[in-house]
Amino acid sequence: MGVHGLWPVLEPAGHPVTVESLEGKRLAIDVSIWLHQAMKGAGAHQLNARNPHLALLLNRLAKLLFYRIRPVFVFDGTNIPIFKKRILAERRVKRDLDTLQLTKAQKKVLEEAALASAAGKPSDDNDVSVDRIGSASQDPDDLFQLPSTSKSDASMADQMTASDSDDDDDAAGIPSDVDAEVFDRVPAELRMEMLLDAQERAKDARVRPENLPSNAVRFSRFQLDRLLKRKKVTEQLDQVKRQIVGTFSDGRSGNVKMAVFQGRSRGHVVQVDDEDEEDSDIQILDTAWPVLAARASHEMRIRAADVDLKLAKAEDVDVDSTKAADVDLHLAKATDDKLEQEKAENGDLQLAKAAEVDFQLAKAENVDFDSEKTTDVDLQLAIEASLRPHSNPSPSNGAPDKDPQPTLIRPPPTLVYSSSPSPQPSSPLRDAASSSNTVKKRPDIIDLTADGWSSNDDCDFVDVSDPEDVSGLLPDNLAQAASRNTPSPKVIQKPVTREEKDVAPVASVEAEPVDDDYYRKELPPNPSAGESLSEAIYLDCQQLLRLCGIPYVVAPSEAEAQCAHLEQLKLVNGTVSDDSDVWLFGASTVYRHMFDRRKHIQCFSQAAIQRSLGLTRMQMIQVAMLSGADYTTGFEGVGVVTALELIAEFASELKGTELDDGMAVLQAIADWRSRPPPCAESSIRRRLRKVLSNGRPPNNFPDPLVYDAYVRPNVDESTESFAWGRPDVTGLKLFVWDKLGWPEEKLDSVMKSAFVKWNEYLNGAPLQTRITSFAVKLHKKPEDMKLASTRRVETALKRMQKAEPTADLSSEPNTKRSSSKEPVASSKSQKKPVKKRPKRKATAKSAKVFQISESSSSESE
Amino acid sequence: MFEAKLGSAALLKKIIDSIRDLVSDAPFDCSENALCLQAMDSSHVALVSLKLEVGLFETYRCDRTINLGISLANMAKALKCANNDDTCLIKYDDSETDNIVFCFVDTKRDKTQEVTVKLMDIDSEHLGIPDQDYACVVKMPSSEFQKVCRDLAMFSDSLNVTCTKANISFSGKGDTGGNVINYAPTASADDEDKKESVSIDLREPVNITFSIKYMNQFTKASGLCDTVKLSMSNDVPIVVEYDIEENGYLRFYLAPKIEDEEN
Repeated sequence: MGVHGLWPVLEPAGHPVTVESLEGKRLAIDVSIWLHQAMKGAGAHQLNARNPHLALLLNRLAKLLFYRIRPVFVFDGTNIPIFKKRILAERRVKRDLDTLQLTKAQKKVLEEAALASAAGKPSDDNDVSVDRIGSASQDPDDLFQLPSTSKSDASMADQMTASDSDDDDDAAGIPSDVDAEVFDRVPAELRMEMLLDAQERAKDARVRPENLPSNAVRFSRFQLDRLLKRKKVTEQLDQVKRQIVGTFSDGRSGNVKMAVFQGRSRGHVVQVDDEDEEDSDIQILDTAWPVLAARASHEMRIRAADVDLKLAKAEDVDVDSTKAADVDLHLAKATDDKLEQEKAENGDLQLAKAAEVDFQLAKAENVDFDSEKTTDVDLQLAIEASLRPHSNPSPSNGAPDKDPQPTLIRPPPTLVYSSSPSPQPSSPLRDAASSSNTVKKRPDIIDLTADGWSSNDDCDFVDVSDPEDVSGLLPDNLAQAASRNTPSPKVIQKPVTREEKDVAPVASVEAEPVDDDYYRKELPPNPSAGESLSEAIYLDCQQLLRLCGIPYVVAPSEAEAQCAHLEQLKLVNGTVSDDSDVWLFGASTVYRHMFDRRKHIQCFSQAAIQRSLGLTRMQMIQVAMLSGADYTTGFEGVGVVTALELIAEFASELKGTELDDGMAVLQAIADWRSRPPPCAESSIRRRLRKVLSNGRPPNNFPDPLVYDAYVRPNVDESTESFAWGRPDVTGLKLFVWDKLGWPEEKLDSVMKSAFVKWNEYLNGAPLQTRITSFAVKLHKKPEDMKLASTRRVETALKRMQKAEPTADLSSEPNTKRSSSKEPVASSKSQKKPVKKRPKRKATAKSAKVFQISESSSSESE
Repeated sequence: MFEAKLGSAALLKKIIDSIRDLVSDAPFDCSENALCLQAMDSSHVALVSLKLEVGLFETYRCDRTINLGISLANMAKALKCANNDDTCLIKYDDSETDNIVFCFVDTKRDKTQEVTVKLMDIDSEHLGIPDQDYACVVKMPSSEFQKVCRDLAMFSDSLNVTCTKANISFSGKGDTGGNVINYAPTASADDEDKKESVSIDLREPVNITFSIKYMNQFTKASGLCDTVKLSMSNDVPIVVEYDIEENGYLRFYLAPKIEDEEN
């Protein structure tokens, strides 16, 4: 969370404080990370996972109340900016990728299981099983080849052949797989025929709840199939299609099953309502549109699965798309009880998704990778969009909605392809498309979902149209798709859906809206599932706080932003957060490590940061936008230090009022980056340019929307002051017993002393004031100021201060001292007269560090 | 180079013993004119300010301003080695930067003892204490004040001071009982009576509350001086001051407890 690497830079500006000294302070507590911490912590320690968040909350509340700190808890809201959702989703995928690789052993076991069960299948199922086995056996190899096989198309081809042979080799090990080898040699058409058959069969024999016990096998199969499919797609479209047709014969339901399975493997009881639900939907559709129905039903399933996936990818991501959640809920029949299971499912779906991406990564340079990436984003957007309009076929969204229909009827694949592989042609185009998507997307999110459905839709469909244009560059695909689909409707619908599902989710989604009307009518209005997961937790927490008489705020969007704003409104004295984002939102006093027993609580203030480091909020936002944070990926390879250097480099070019506008510097950097390098450029710039051009740039840099989201976050402006009530101990006991199963004694052991102290406060016991609030704190002499930062950071900060006339002058000598050009002798003479002494206190640390870094830098000179 | 010789180690002993529970590590600032110390307790409620002027020392030499961070626990250990009548020479040599040396000399027996204590780097925060015209300045026997604090602590954890022209009242009330102690200002104190007199110099009535825990720590310094000076104004820290042989002082600042504005 937050800006990675920002804390270490700020570290020197902080000072340790004791908890006692916070007595009587009103502090805004940023709870947003807690829930994740609770979940993770409980999981990591194999603790009783029942409502770990409540236990955590109670414990921490006890600490606060014991020290008579007056807390105001701030929860994350639902209206999270889309860029954050996207970043979170990306991070999650990345994380899941790692987990995937870690579970190599697990995979092996599953694979074996898959092979075994496939071997045991009846002979008439051979084609299918063979295919599956083939993919299953070859898959892990690819997966684990990841690091080495990443790259070019050429190597891709090699890889393909290699893996094919792998396929054979592996298959040869299994008795029933003699067929597999044969199968591989069969002419493509025949193979396709077979695969289609297989698919047909598989479709008929879709997994029912009662089939679940064999899920372990299926899971690995599906997952692996998906991987295989991806690979083939990039190789040769024709072959790809066949493969897809085959491998995905039950792949679509696979999405769901996969999740179910994994959930189960982790000990969750999972409901398979999903598929049943799908079925019913499909039936409805069938009756409605005989022609379209089949395809639509597939699409719907696909879409449903995709929606699921999306939701899984980011629980928060879809928070605002209640509609999407509706669908999901409909699928998952998520009742409150099942929330956790659902979460597990989601998590597992992520794994599945991650698997796909994993594979894509293997072809890092491959076009497919990017296309997938973009479609992911597109899909997300599109899903949101497609889900919204249904109830209201107004002209504006009606047009786009219907659009897909006709195209589908006539040459269905065109549209399918048009939107899906759009990203493939060339990267600039791709980037353009995706960035345009995102740009267009943002406004909706910012304006809340409720009001502007129609406008949202417009945007979305504009998005889609972009790819369509691009798709013109893909005659191959289109032609093939078209030809494929002409022969027989039966056959058509499958390949199309297959492709739609995995290659072209956008398209499939697009076709949806019409169906969805049906969908919708069938369904009772549901709260969003993705939302309700965290919502239930939030509600629990809030209930707990109510019982304890503690005020809380549910931020419209980000808890950190709200905390910072409460402080600006003077409703609280400071913020407790470990998230460096608070600085970007304008916090002025932040307490870090409040609940970390191993560390001192550290107090940071914006004033101290500016005084000792010369870093302003604006500059921190700039750092975030360059190096990446929750709202933007930043430049790949640019960390906080490089970002500081960049800002320092370019801030010095600007003057006066331009400096007040945080965007100016970023714009200058963007301009410079896009210009061809002049022949004579300073070495610093050459280095910076190299860094910037190495990594993947963020979309649309510098994004004014992201910037704006930092500068003017969506917060609750209410100035109503907070009140702290008396804890309802009886109610709390019941609640705790109900939710945590804690007997009275346990609650007492946690909360009693805290409540005693807290009641003292509530009874009007006088608060101890601090001497520090009466005495003027003398600022340390410049040479006493500590800088634990590295040379690069210091230099950059120094340059920034020079560029900024408003910078505190008192810090000048300090930074001057750290300048590399300063002679060693003079820097020494300015040092504290007292030289090195044994370090005894943690509090003495930073000063010490500075001395060390100073002396080491002197040595290097 | 810093060298300062005290006629009696006992003085330093008393000072250190009275503040070591409040402050664990202290930064001594040695300047040409005085040896000073300013430190807050860990919760930043109390502040200790010590000033030992040149006049207190038999010899005093300080070439430049030096900041010596010393663990008071270690300093107390060193001072324990000294007999009360020993002279105490504090030495800090620039060439040997890590240590401070306490040199105790028993003149009667020609015994010398050198105790070396490691210095430490202390992240000291200097507080500028604003000059304050206190609404009320009370002088009273330090032993009396010590007893007041001890007595009040039996029932209460806070000490309320109410001061009017007519009297000064110390009170404390707890769940199990309460205690009120009143002093009327001694009429006209004769010189010999001065030690026992209570004087009130009042501009405005004062009513403030303090944590008695801290007061009880301050009064450990009662041995330094027969009278204690309490300077108070409403809602600002009280100053509890002990003079040190008219050439220095030990002051304790204590932040008041205040009623919460919201309750």
